[in-house]
Amino acid sequence: MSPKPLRAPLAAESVEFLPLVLDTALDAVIVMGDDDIVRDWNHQAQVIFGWTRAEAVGEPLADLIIPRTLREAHRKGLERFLATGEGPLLGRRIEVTALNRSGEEFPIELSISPVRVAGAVLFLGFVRDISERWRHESFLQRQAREAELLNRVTTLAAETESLDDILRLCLDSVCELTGWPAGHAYLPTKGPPPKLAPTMIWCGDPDEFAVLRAVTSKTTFGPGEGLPGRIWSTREPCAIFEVNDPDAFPRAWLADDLGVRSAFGFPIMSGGEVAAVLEFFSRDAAEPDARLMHIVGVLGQQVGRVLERRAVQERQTLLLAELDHRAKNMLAVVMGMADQTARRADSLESFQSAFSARLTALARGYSLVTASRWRTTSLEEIVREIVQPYVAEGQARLETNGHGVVLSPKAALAVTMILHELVSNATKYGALSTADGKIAIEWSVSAASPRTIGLEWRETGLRGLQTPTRRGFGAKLIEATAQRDLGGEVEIEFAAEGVCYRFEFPEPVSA
Amino acid sequence: MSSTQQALHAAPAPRPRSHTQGAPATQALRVLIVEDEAIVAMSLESLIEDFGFEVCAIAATGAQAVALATSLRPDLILMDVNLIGEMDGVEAARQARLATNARIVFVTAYGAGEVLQRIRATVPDALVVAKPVSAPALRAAIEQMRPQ
Repeated sequence: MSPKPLRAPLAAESVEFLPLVLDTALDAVIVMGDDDIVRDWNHQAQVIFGWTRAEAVGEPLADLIIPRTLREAHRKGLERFLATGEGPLLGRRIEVTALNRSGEEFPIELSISPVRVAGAVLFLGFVRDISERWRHESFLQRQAREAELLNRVTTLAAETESLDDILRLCLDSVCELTGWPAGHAYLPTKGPPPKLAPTMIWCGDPDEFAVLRAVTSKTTFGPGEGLPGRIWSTREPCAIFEVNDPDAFPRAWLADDLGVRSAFGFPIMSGGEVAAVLEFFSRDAAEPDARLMHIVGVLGQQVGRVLERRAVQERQTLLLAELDHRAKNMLAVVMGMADQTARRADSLESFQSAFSARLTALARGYSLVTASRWRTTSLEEIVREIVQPYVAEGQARLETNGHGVVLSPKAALAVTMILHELVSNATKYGALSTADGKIAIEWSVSAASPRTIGLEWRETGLRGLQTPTRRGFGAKLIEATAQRDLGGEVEIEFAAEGVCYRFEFPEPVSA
Repeated sequence: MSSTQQALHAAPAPRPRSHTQGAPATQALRVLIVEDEAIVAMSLESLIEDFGFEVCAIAATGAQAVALATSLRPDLILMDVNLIGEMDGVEAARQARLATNARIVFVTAYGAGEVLQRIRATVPDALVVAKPVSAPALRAAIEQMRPQ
C-alpha cells in the first residue's frame, strides 16, 4: 500500500485564518507537532478536556489527553508515520478513549489530518465527546438484553418440565444479565409454621461460594426474616449492600466471611402467592440500580404466570380425568340398573317402564348434585324433586318434616334412588295406591358425635297390609344402597295400616 | 355396628344359581366383591353367579374388604378402586394380599394414569377390567386368574 500523501502545504493566507477557524469550530481542535508537543488548542478542547490553551500549548499531547495504557501505542504510531509516512489512524474517524484533566477516561470520536506548514509536519486533531451517545447506546443495548432475557426465560420456562429446572433457568439468566456470580432459590413450605426452605438449586461456582452454600443449606426463614423472608413478606425485590452485617443478613452469624459482599433478590409470584424467592450475590460491594430491580420484578411476575398457566392445565387434566371417571361410574350404575331390572322384569313393557322410571330418578339426582356444583345437596330438595311429583297438587297426602340436612354427592344420589324405590313401590302397592293412604317423611341429624342422619318413611291409611313373605327387588336395592352407598342401616316395620322404613347413616363429611 | 358386622350382614348367603353358564360344578370359585355402588355390586353378584361361581361376601369399604378377605379367604377378589371411607381399593388389595393369596381383579373406571401405575406397583399380578364392565370381559379376566 502506498503511503497516504500529506495534504498540500497551507498557503500563508490560510495560516493566518487558522486561529479564527480554531476558535469558531464546534469540535475540539488540537494542533500537534511531529514531536508530540501541542502547538494549538481551541476553546472547545478546553471544554472537553479541562486544560486551558495556555496550559496545553507546549506540553506533550500524550500526557494531557491519552490514557496511560494507550501512550505507548501513540508514541509508536507517531514514529512509524515519521519513518514511513504511513498511519492507519490518519484521515478517518475513529472512536477511542481519552483522558480529561480530572483523570477520568471517556469516549471520543477523533480524526487526525497531517499537514505540512512551512516545511514542518503538523497534525490537526478534531475531537468530539461521545460520552452521551455511548451512554444512550449502552442503555439501548441494556434494554435489548433485558427484553431478550425476559423473552427467553418466559419462553423456555413454558417448555420446561419441572419447577427445579425453571428456577435453575431464572438463576442462570439473571446471573448472566447482571454479572453477579452466584444465585440461589428458596421455596416456601406449608408448615406449620410456614417457612422458606433452601432448595440448594444454585448458579455459580460451588467451590468459590462453598461457605455461602454451606450456611444457606442450614438456614430457613420465616416471613420477614432475613433477605428471603423480607422478599416473601413484601412480595417485592429487595437488596442488601453489606451481607456481612448479621442484623441485615442473619446468615452472617454462621460464618466470619461469607465470601460475598452484596445481595439482592426477588419473588416469583404465582396466583397472588410467592412461589419462590430467588437471591443473588456479588463478591464486591454493589447495589443493583432501580431499573434492574424493576426488571427482575417483572421477570418474577412473568415466570409466575407460566407457573399459573401450568397449574391451570394440570387442574384441567385432573378435572377431565375425574369427569371420565364419573361418567364411566355412572354408566356402570346404569348398566347395573338395566341388568337388575331386566332380571326381575316379566315382560319387555314392564322392563321399559321400571327402567325408565329409575333412570329418570337417577337423572334428577344428578341434576340436583350438579346444581349444587358437586358439593352438598339438601335432603329437603331431594324429597321435593323425587317424591312430590307423585302426589297430586292440593292433596294433603304427603307430610314432610325436617330441615338442615345436607348430603354429599354420593349420599344424595343414594338417597335419590332409595326415595324413588319407596315412592314407586307406594304407588304400586302402598299408600299412593289407595285414596286414603298417606306418607310422612321425617329427617334429622343427631347432635351426638359422630353425627348420624335419621330418615323415616312412614305409610299409613292402608287396611290389612300383609308382611311380604319374600323380599322384592326394590326392598333389596333399598337395603343394599343404605348399607353400601350410605354406610348405614335400615329397619323395616310392616304394620296392617302401612310400612315404615327407618334409615340411619353417618353424616357424610365430604364429597 | 362395626363395619365388619355391617358388611357380613350385607353379604348375601351363597346361592347356587340354576342358569349357570358352563362353569364346572365341581370346584366353585369363591369370590369377594368390593364395590360401594349397591346396584353395581348387585349386578356383579348376579354375573358371578351366572358364571357358576360363589359370591362369599360383598364389601363396600376397604376396611371391610381386608377383614372379609382375611376371615373368608376367597379365591378371588373383585376390587373397585374408589371406595367410601379412608382406604381405597389399591391399599385394600395390598393389605388383603398380606393375609391371603387371593387373586385380585380390579374393576374400575380409573383405567389409566396414576391409579393404574399404583396398581401395577402394588399388586403386579392383578388384572384390571374397565368399568362399565361387560360380562364376557369379566368372565375372561376371572378365568385367567383362576387357580389351575
